Amino acid sequence: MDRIILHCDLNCFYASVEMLYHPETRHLPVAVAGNPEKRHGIILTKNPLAKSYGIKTAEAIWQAKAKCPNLIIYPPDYRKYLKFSFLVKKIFSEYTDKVESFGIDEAWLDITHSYHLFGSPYHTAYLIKERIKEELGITLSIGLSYNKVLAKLGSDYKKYDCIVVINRANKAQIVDPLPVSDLLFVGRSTTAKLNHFKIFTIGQLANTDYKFLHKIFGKIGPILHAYANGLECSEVTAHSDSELVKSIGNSSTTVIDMSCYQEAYLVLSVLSQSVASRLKKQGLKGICISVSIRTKDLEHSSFQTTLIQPTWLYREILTTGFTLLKKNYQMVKPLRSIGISISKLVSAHNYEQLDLFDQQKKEHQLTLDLTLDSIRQRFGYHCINYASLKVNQDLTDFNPKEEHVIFPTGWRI
Amino acid sequence: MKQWVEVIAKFDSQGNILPLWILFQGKKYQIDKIQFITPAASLKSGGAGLRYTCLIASQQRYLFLEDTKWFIDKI
Repeated sequence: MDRIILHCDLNCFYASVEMLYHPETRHLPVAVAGNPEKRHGIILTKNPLAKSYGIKTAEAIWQAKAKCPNLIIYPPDYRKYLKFSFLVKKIFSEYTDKVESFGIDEAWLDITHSYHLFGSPYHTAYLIKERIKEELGITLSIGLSYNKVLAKLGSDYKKYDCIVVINRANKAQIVDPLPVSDLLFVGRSTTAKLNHFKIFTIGQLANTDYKFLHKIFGKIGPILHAYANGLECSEVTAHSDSELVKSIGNSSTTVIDMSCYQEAYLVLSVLSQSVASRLKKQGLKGICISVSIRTKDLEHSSFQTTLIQPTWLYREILTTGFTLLKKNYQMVKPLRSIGISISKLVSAHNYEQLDLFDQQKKEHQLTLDLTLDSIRQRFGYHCINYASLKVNQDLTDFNPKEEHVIFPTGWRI
Repeated sequence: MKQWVEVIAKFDSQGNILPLWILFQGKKYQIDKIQFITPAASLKSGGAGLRYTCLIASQQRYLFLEDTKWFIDKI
């Protein structure tokens, strides 16, 4: 028997919430954009009316204003969005225990074993959609299908308050003509590569020999082939498992560009403190450290390394991250943003191999980290910090742990 | 504009909150009956919370509890 999977996508989520709270703007072009003074001045979401002016997500505010001078722009209020996201997922959990979040505004629901309580699968999707509209005043698009990839294609197929059913009978008619870029995992460079081989639609991708795709794309090739043929079969992670963390990281776009290693070190230091503190809060240690950078020309690169032993210590994360940066990037162009993350996480309560020489140093570092965390918890983040970070407060005066709370849940296969 | 109001409410032993009086523009209005309580969005005033459908002087009005604050829906 085929599974019944819903993919629920809240329509222009941030903008919808803002329009709910500002009813007078409901019939005007509205966008939510970051703070231009902190150089986060890009469009995060826009409503359909703003979209009709050609405004695109991630373009600069001035570009959007040039297209639509009357555009109403609200700063993001993440606390409010998180509250709505939580309430939406609470409603989802009344229909099934298998809810897998995909970012703040999307989720998969497996209703295979629960839809009979509410009628048909379509009626269940309809009830969910109407309840969210009635109770929270925002709309969503739902894709209903027999696997996660097709359900997601369904929710993207028709926007704004719609339900699209993709079954085995209509899959070829709906999915096959869609551009390959609509498929999950197919980003800009994969699309360009596929287009280079004259593969433009999902149907063409489905009919391509998977051995050829494997040769071109490596192990992702056959996966894409399976997706295009509707053969994806990953489970919707049960609700209770959805908080499992795969990696912990923070990044920051700084107010001024980082033009030397010293400046990058300062920012990495703030970020590493946050990562170390979040690891300890969750009782986790990680072994794989990654550093990602974006230059002032918006070129993106990332580097990673594996430690000998898992860590949750601030100093170790920082030193490893900084060494990684120095080894891989020569600071040819100033950096606009930098991020550090740690993955391959294990429980901190596991047994570990003690270090013959540096054990005492590590214990001192842990005490220092924990003391700093507990002082901050009691008196606020900014009450204590390393004196070295006072050198350039333009770069270091932020709290990544609390100011950035939107972390999309990773794709789990 | 959203019309925030002061409310005198009863907290029962089960943790339910039942509004009894609304204080608005210097006047005190008694809630005669609560007809329904349901989570709902207010598209008129803007916001979402727990909506109390109240009878006040034989007129039906919506009173919302949003987080810890109360507002009445615009007419």
